[in-house]
Amino acid sequence: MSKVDIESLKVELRRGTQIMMVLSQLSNKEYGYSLLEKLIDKDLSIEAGTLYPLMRRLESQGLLESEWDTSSARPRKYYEISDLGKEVLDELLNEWKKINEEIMKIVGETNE
Amino acid sequence: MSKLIEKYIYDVTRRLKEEEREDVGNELRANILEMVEDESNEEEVKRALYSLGSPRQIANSYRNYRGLISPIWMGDYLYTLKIVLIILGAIGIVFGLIESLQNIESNMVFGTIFEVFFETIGNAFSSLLSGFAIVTLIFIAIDRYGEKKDDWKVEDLPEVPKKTNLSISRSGSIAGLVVTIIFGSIWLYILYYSNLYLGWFEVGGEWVVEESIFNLEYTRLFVLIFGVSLFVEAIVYAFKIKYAQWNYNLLIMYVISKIFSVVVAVVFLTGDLISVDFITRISTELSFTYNQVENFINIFKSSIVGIIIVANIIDLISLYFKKIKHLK
Repeated sequence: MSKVDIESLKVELRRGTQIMMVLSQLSNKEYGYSLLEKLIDKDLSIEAGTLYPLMRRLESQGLLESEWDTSSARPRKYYEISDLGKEVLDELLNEWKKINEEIMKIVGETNE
Repeated sequence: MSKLIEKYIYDVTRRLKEEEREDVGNELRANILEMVEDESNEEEVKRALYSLGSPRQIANSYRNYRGLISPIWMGDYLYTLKIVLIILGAIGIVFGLIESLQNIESNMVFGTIFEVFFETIGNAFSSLLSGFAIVTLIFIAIDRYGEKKDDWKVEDLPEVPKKTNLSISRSGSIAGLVVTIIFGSIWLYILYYSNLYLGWFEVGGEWVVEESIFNLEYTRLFVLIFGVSLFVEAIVYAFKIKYAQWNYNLLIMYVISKIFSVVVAVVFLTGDLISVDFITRISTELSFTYNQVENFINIFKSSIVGIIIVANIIDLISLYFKKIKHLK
């Protein structure tokens, strides 16, 4: 292969989309591992080491809300999308569609 | 509680800010425990930890890291740092040398060399450190509080250096500046203490100057004048670094500084430089008459004056033919 590190380019491209993945799956409360399993069940590739810090960051940006559930034997931190998070998700999805259309359009042109 | 998990969590959280350590640790622990069914099964725990990735990496993701100086300023920062460190290093070496030469404690030759060497290095190093700290602090401040770089104007764009012979290499100018400052400072120092370093030496136990070559009041008078000349030269170098190519402003400054330094050197040489005592001493030691020695010295001085003037004229002429002709 060439000198280009394709894997790191893919990771970079995915990074922005992961926010949409996480926000879209948190309309109901989830804790870190349950969300990870949910995403993996849907064949979405994200790693635990990426997902957990990402959830925390989205919370600090006010896009997620969290609370600790210490009632059971295993304490869990549950996350849920906030109102701001919903707005942001809508914006991001619109942007995503736009990007997708634009890319398909120019790639389609060059392929003809 | 699995020891391995605790070690992992500690290794992640110790890299984070104190106030978020506990919360991140608790959450991480909860998530890891969900990932393993039986936490006493070491193999299972290992697999879970490996799937999370290295503590350094995951801590970095948690940290939401932002450097002290954002990438936008990094180029300017490194460039400024390079120039400031080179200049400070040179100045530090000069002053370290002067300072350590003034207070030599050892009376052995090797001891003296070591003492001077290490004191000079130490001095240069400490001025480098403070230079580094100051530049870094300034850039952190610019980064935090300065204008955002987006508000740029096309008027501020630098000229594209023409690929003609008008260009001046920046590294060459920096090297020139450094050399000028080092040797200029040494020269000023020698002039100021000319009674200590330049003279007829009598060797006996210690080196003592019996008769100084120069008149001390005369050389001290010229310390200030040479100092100004050195300062002017340093400024010209600074502008050479700034413009990186010849233009009329730079040319005028360059010619003025050349003429000034030549005049200073010529006046210095033709004046009452050599002490009468020294001439007397030479004439008795080498059995010449006072007048013969004085004549010889005058011829010597005139030749040096001649060489300085010719060399500078050649320099200006060659500058004209190589560069100035191309100025439009």
